Amino acid sequence: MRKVLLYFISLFIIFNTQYANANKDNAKNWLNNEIKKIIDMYRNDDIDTITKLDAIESAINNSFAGTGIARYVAGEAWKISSKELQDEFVILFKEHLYLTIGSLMQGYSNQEYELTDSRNDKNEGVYLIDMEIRQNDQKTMVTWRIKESKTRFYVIDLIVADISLVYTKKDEFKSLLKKVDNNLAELNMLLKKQNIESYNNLVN
Amino acid sequence: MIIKTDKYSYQKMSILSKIIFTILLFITILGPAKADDNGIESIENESSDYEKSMYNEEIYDPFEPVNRVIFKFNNVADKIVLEPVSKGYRKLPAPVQTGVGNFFNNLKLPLVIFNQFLQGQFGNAAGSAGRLVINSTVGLGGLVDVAEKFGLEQQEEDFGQTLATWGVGDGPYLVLPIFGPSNLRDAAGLVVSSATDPVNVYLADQGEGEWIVYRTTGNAVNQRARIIDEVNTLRENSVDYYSAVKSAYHQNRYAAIRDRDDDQLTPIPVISVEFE
Repeated sequence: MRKVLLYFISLFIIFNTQYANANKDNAKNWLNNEIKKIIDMYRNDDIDTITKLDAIESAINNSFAGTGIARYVAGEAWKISSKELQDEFVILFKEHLYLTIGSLMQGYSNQEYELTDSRNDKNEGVYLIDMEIRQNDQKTMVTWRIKESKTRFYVIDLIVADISLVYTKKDEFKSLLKKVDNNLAELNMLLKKQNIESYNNLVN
Repeated sequence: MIIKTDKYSYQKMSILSKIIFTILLFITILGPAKADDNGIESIENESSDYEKSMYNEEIYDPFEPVNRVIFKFNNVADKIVLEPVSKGYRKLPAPVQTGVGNFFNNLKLPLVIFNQFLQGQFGNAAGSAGRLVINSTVGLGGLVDVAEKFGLEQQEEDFGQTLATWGVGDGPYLVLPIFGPSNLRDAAGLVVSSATDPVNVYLADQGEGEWIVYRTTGNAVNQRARIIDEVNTLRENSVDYYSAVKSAYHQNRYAAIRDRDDDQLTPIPVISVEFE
């Protein structure tokens, strides 16, 4: 009886480990494909900036947990705001996110990248995928934090050289929300203005 | 290397020591470190539908109005002087930039070794010492990073990190003119690092103090040239550039103090993906 029990426990452990490893690899492959799509576009000089930005917007909307990050960043202001204001903020925040990534991509000049490691933070249910970007002697480490939901993957944070995108955004918006007394309507107005400026900087 | 000491330099060090001691005492009183004091704390939130953890502890910034004024000044100085010079520097052939970067990194090593000893990182100190010897000799005075091929990678340690390891808290956030974001502990660390850097001490002793300025300026240009795009992205897309830099500095220092070897990143923000 004890042998049978041990056999099933071993099977269970092996199955779970393999399942976790398979998912970790799936997350890595998924991320690799998403990055490749964008990089291929940026390597093509015939494609104009607006088309590239549209591609990034679409990628961000599909791959980033934009709504979740927006709610997190808005913090207290989210809870006291109306549904309409929340929805408007999510749209503006997603725009802000894609313009930030689009701006970062403007500096792209054929850097090589490689996904070097993937691991699973079981406590938080998050996959951590390490990426190394190389240009000449310079190496930049990027860690992607990815969550899975209903067989889909979403990026929940991006850490570039030890700096978390989400925590930085949280601090920025916290400071701004303090100035406008947690008024999401005012924040939306400011964010709208900022997005227009950022877009114009990118396309002009 | 023979370091001469005369009465004048002894008096200088004595005054400096007093200043450093006062600053350290001030820091110790002001900012004792708490366990896991990194400004990031997990708390349970009642509305668990979207957020269970918060980045709830703000970076202590009692001098924000003054800091913002200095930050504006630094930003203008950066746009007018440092950024254009760095852009010009980046037009140099890549091997030249690599050589210059290696040279400055090599000059940092005596200070790094000193701080690794102070932090009890004897293995790392030995590795850095090996790196210094190899790159200074085989690596043509530090221009070529030969040591990396032997697995001896560049590590960064300064006196601010040493103080943090000894349990000194951040203290208030400060923006230093020209030098940029810092905090009271790291600002004191900067003073001590400059005063105890063996290369600086040697140059001062030889009456070649101006080379300290050239070295600091050259290092600043080299570092700045490496982050031109990142700074521009932050500057052009931040809703509050000051807060973005403050947050980035805080996270970067936190990681440097914990050391990358720990493989510990900032805590994972609990973000729900149920609403996508």
